[in-house]
Amino acid sequence: MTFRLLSPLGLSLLILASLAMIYLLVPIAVVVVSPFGDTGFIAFPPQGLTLKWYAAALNDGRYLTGFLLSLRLASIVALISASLGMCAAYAITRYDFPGAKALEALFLSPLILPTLVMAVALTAYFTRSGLPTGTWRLVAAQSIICIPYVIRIVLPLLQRFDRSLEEAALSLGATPIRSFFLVLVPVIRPALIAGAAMAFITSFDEVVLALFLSVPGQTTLPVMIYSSVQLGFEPVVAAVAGLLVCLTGVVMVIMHFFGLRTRG
Amino acid sequence: MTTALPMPAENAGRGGKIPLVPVLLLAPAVLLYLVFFVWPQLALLMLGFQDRGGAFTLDLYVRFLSDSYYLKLLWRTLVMGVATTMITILLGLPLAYLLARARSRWATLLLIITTFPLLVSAVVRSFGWMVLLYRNGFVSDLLQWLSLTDGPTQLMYTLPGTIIALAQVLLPIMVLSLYAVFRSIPPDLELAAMSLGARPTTALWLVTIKLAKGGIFSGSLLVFSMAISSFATPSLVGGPRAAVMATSIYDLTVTVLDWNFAAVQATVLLVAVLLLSLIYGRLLNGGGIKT
Amino acid sequence: MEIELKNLTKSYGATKVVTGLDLSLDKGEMVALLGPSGCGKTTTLRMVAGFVDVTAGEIRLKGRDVTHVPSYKRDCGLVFQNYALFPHLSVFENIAFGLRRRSVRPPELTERVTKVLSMMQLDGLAQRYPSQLSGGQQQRVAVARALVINPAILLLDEPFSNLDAKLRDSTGYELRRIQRDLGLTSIFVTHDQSEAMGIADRIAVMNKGVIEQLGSADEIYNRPATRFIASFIGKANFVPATVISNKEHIVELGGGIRLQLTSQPLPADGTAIDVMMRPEHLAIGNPEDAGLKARLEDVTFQGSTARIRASTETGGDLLIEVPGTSLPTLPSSGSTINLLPDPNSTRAFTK
Repeated sequence: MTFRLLSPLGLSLLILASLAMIYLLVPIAVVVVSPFGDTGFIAFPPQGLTLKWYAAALNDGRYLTGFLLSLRLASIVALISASLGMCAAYAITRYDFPGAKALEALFLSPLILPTLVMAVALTAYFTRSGLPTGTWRLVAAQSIICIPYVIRIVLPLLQRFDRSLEEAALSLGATPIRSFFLVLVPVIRPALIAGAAMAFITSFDEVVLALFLSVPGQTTLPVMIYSSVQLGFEPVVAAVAGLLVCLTGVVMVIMHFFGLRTRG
Repeated sequence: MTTALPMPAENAGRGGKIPLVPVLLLAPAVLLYLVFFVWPQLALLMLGFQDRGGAFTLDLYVRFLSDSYYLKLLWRTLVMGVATTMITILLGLPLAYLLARARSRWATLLLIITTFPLLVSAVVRSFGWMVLLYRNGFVSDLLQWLSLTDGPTQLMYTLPGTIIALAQVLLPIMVLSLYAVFRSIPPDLELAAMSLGARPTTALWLVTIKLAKGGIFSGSLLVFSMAISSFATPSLVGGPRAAVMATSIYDLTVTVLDWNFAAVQATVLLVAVLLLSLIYGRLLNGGGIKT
Repeated sequence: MEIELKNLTKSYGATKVVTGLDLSLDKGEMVALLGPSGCGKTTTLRMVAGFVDVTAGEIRLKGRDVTHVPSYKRDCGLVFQNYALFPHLSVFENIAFGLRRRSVRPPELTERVTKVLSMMQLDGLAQRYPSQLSGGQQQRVAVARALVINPAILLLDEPFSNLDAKLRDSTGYELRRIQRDLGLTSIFVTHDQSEAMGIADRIAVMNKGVIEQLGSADEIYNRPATRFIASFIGKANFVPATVISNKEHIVELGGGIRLQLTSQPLPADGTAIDVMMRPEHLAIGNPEDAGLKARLEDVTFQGSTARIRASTETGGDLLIEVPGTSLPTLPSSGSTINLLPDPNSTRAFTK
């Protein structure tokens, strides 16, 4: 700090920053804490102490199904985004062709485009196109919003990658495919994992596309929570949301442990 | 779109072979984008200029821009965007500044805690706000305890409530962009200003804030465009009584099934966001401050 | 006394960065704080500037106790290592910054800025921005910005480290001239001994948070107070020896060579010590003289001097520097040479 924290300026900044921190964390804390309340409705601060709502949430088959569906979809989306994004980024950086810049801009454009607009476009498109329904629609849509994350993380790394390393491998007798896997992949693997993790989290949390393109009987967990909380504050839903927050926390700690940075 | 004969950077067309590799590498992603992104998006733009029969018309745009209900919707969306951005600046500036300047190892932990909400689904965070903002809820109690209000306050299903919740949802984004800006300003500049006789407040204003101006503006554009196009929070906290364009678009698409009119509003939103991001891109590339 | 640092101490938790530092400067004097990185020299400078809180001790500027005065009320002109020029302000506005804080208004403001611009040979650059200036120009703007407020003291943090070797000498000379003309009391921090020796009136050599020696360049080079200084400043050979008679200042090097060291008191008779000899204080004598016998390993020609690496019978390496002109007369590699130390320039250090 370039000035004393205990000066009037330092203190006022500190107070505002603390308020910001409280403001950021309180609604999340509420979700985790209020299901401990022993009342039939959700209240904050909670009254009484019980674990029954959390127990009920864990035993409720509907939420477990939703959770597993979200997990499965997010895994598929992460896999598709990571592989397609990686291939595209590699082609853009390795081969010099007209329109490479334009392609890059196209691939990154979903970052700017509101998901809501995409959701409307796809709803109209799918309904009129007569394509078969199913969760694959959601997978395709979410992959499009997740590929940019992968490309944005991997592309700078590929651009900075010293091509002479690959050439060295080739000169030592490795085939192009072998040198790709032996030299390039290890270098960009952390970025690729970070990109895939971002895609996974984005897909898992995503609610707009999931809501617009939802298939009856196959609802993702965020959509389930969205629909339930609109109807009322059922403690079980709160407990499900609370569990989700804790799980996110665990995932973040693991990711931090492995040195992965997400967003920003 | 045709990917005109990709060529390897070196050894172009070794042995006269067609460079198949880049085509194969790009094909899946390009196909996915063309079929499920570019084409639907173009179709959406067209929808706004068609009546139900498919004939060209400008009626829908005229209806949007002349009906007082929709103008009110537009106005509310703008108010929500501006207010949200202002709150995130007010709270984001001190937090990002302290995080960027702190040298203790706690700073990293605090930065991680700041970004944690980004990983929690907006639905879950909005739900937290619903519990807090309800009539007789925590915020209402707090306001009474602080003697700011006499009776219980209903913030749920109101625009102020939506703004309070949305600003929290988007605050980490503002903090992250401002953090990057402040990190790029060497603390020595503040020290130099102070050694020349500037009080800390003056030094912060004349040096740090002046230098961060571009970054604050571009962060605001980002938060603003995310605010006007976000759906989950306005839908859950604001509900139909504090409808904004995002919730109206959802209703038109899913409940009313009037895709043409939904397309009009979506296009208005899209154009606004694209214009803002164009300015944002300009700022990042050109108008930035050279250090 | 223009500046007095009394028992100045800075610690972060249990780590002491600066310990009990005492230093006083007369008006118009320039003192260099010289030392390896992490020796506490920059922390000391930042304490004087008011950027770092003092743990214990006192700082007095022109007799005024400023130990707890915030930096913006201290009147220290400071030149930063990276210059810290405000990138969003023109050269003129960078220099005017301190004047504006002191409510100096045009025409006086313009006059003072213009004056310092021409003094620093920056005429015509007033409207440029720092990014449009060369490194040397940026450095001069940084100095001009610090000078224009007529500071009580000028502090410089590694002011030449970002300049290329050619500019360093001329800038240093120029800075010294201006500092003398203005009669400015000044402290500068450096890790470069030739910079310190070339510019400063006195040098404070710091190590591990304390000043190990304070003196002129000549004193520090020729009469180093500690083994650290002997090896940090210039090159030094350490030859093991035994005190024969501390009354008569006689020590015996390996091989029975006795030296009389008149320059300093010696420990008790029989103590094992190291005798420090600068490379240029070893002469190659005739084989029959009583000297240090060594094997000549190789010779590097440096232009004005020639450097000889030799190994003694006890296994130690010696560095000898002779005038470059004597290169043709040097013995060939592998031959035994006889080295004669200059007793007046050697120093004894206890083991």
